[in-house]
Amino acid sequence: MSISPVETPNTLPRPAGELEALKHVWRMPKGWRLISEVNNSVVGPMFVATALLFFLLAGILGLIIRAQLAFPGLTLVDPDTYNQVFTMHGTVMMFLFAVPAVEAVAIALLPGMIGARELPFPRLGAFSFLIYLVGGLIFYASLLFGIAPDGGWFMYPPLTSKAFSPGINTDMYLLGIGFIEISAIAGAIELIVGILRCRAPGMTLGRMPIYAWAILIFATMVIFAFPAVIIASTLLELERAFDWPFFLPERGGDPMLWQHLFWFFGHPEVYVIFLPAAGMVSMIVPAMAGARLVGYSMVVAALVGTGFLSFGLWVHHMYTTGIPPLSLSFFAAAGFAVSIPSGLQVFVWIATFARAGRRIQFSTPALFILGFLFIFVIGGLTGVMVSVTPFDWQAHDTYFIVAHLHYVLIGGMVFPLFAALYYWAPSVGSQLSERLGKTAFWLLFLGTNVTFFPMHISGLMGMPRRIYTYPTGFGLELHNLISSIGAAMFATGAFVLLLDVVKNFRIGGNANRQDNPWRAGTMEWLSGPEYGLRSIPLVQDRYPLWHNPQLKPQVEAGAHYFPFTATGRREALISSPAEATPQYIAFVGGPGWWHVLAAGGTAFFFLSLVAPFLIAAAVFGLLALVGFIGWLWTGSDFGPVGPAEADIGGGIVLPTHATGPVTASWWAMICVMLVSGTAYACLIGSYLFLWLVNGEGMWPPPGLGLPALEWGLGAFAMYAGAGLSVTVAAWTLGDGRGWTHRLALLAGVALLAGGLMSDGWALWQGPIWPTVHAYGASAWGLFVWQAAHVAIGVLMGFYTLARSLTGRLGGQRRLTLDNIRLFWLYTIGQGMVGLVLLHGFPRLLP
Amino acid sequence: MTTRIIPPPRHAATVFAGAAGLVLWALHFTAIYAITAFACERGREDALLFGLPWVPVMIGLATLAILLPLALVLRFTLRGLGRPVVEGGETEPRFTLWFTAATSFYAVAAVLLQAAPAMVLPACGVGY
Repeated sequence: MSISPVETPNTLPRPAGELEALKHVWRMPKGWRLISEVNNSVVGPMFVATALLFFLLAGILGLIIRAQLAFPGLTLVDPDTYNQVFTMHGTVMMFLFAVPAVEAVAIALLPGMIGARELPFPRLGAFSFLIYLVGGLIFYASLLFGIAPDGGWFMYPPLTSKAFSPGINTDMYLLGIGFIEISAIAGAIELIVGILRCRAPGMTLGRMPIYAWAILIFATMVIFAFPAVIIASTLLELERAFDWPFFLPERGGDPMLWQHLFWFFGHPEVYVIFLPAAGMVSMIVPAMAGARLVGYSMVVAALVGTGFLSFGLWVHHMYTTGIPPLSLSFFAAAGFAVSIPSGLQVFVWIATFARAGRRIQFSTPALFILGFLFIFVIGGLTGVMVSVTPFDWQAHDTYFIVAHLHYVLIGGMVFPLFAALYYWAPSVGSQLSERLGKTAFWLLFLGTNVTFFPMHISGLMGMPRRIYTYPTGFGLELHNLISSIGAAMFATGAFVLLLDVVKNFRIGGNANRQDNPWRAGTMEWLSGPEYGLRSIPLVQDRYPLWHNPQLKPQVEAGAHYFPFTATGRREALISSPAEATPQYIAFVGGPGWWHVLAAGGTAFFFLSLVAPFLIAAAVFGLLALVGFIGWLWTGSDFGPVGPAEADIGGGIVLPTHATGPVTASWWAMICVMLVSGTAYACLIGSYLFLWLVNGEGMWPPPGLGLPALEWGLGAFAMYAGAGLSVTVAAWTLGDGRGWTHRLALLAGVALLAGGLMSDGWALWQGPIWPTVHAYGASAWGLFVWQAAHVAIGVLMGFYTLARSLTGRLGGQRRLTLDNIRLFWLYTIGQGMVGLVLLHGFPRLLP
Repeated sequence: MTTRIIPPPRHAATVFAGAAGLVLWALHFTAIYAITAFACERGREDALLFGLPWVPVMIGLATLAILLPLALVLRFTLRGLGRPVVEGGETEPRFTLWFTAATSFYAVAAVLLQAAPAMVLPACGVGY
């Protein structure tokens, strides 16, 4: 598909009314109704602004910590409040700032960067933002009522068990953060499908911007890492609320299980935070240098390698727990191995700058990049130090670790984020001030080093982390005072940056707005008004704007692909994952209120459970359900609408509707299955871990038995029957007017529910009781997860039946049935695996 | 206007096949950690297999079991890199093969690095 720069897919001038029709379908609500808009050009910047707000709020907590520790023996806050302050500082920074910020930047920039008008599920992105906004603010506000979490940002039991934390502070974390994770996962699914299926024609994987690669890997890591913390939170909440002893040693539990689950999430989490930032750097450096990134392919391999190996490091947070040294050495080895791709990227950036020679623009973004390189490399070096097990035995839980983590997080994420803010502000609005930006940079850079460098020394001198105060005479006074002064410097820099944004930034820009002031080569600089791109560009290079300097006027004139709306609705061009060959035109959602209702209901449902206000939780849960059903019922699976095909230009004619594995929604459902499957794998891992630590002859322990085999076999058969039923329903759908598929669905619902009941009865007959021992708790934990899936599956079954009865299912209009079939088959498979494990494993033990 | 025939897109699996080497690394990592944990919790630190200590032998076997498919992946990709570029002059096949080879080399290095301690350290420590 090689077209010279002067030869474009569509001829000019475009027909009259074409642009107006495009503007009409992409128009946005005005005033307060803007909250119902889902366009990434609105959601993205709001998401970024909210994340920066949480950065400031958590930063204030950091200032309180430094004020308290400026001198020994201070009592600016009482110890209980201090516990909440440092816990919330870490929790808000990690969960409400770091991950949402990188996800938000991706939502704002990616569509333009990959040559798309919009991400494939904009309502999902908006939902993700709204639960985060509402839930995050209420979670933060818990500080004002003294009910904020207070067990450290990783909340280890037994400190956080009911015996030692009887208040609702821990529950606020477990339930409050749980739905933030849902927000992150929802955003990740949208980003994966968007990057793999919505790229402009010609943007093969080898031509994808590095940032898109970074976000693809980030989102995939979220899919596989975040379920572990969801499971950990669920198990601890079950223990606290219902006395199921997952972490209580006296009844077969083990607090180490929490640590394994948490850090299996927690270590990839820090790379989840770093990789998008590295992607941003890889985009900004070439623009600042006016040169192509050196070693693009090596950087891609490095990103993917880092993403994978980061899952093999988690126990390096547990070096002092008594795990055998050989086991620890596996993680140390993986830690050394993972430094190779990180180091490679640093050298690539230096080499790209070197290639520029005198062309480097030392503007604010470049300064933040240079600051990132300096600070992150120091953090990386101390990271390799603590990766050496015997060294970590001295440094663990001291301020050395606090120094290390702040160097890598501030250096590795905050500085690139600020670079991105200054770099990309002109692409969504007005340019920020160079003068204020440079002032902010120097204050932040110096502030970071003055605050955190002395902590290496105070840590090696023995100052433990999280302490409320420290005694005189141990030589810690000067280092702490310097750190506190540095924190004030850092805060001043943050204030200057905030001033710059408030004073100078306007979405949409101002009259003096410069397009592409950095003369960058990638397509996010093409983005225009609400519809994003007038036409979808043909991509022939990794830097399309450098390859074809006429690309912007060509795209804006409508000379490239798809310069119109085919069906009179908002649409996206869906392409193949490897070569971005156009495949079909997909409907994408527009403004609405159902997802707003779903978001509000979900957030308040989880928060009501904290108190617990059970009636309120039930009401909000119902509202959330109404929101989800309304969202799907009115806004999905329309079937073919308008013309069956459209000529997008260049002789390419595409269908305007698709079904089956080629659809974006199928891919999203696969991602959902991967999330659930990972969570279930964590539950299986928990079950096996508890078996392993309980010793011979304790699985089951005295007093508990094996699940009743006949009921288990019955459950297995009923699950299989449900799978057959839904498959028959899919095969016999036809035009949707017959009764075969409806009866098959009803039979499937009955068999699914029956299978679950038989599954549960088999456990009860064991007898296997969840409160007696971890054997029972882990078995019922697996059952509870399965029950939740069956409940959703039953709901989906009735929903599909309702659509069929109301004439909304049949012929080409079958996305609903195809997608629920996927979910059902997953749930059935999950149930069968659980049955084999719970019935087979204890019976096979010697 | 003549409708242009678009070449059929490659299967989605080709996108993910590039990570094969790293998936094999993950399997090896899981296996050796599980082997060591089982040995230490179930008192097999002094057990013998083929007259040799149980843990290093099992880790060695797991390592060989993973190095074999890794070698096959490398052989396939390196052979592919030597062939002429096809598909209308697109760089894509070369990029995908190159990427698979690079990540597989990295996986081999990581597998060897994480298996090596088993030859040096005792399986379990004090308290086991």
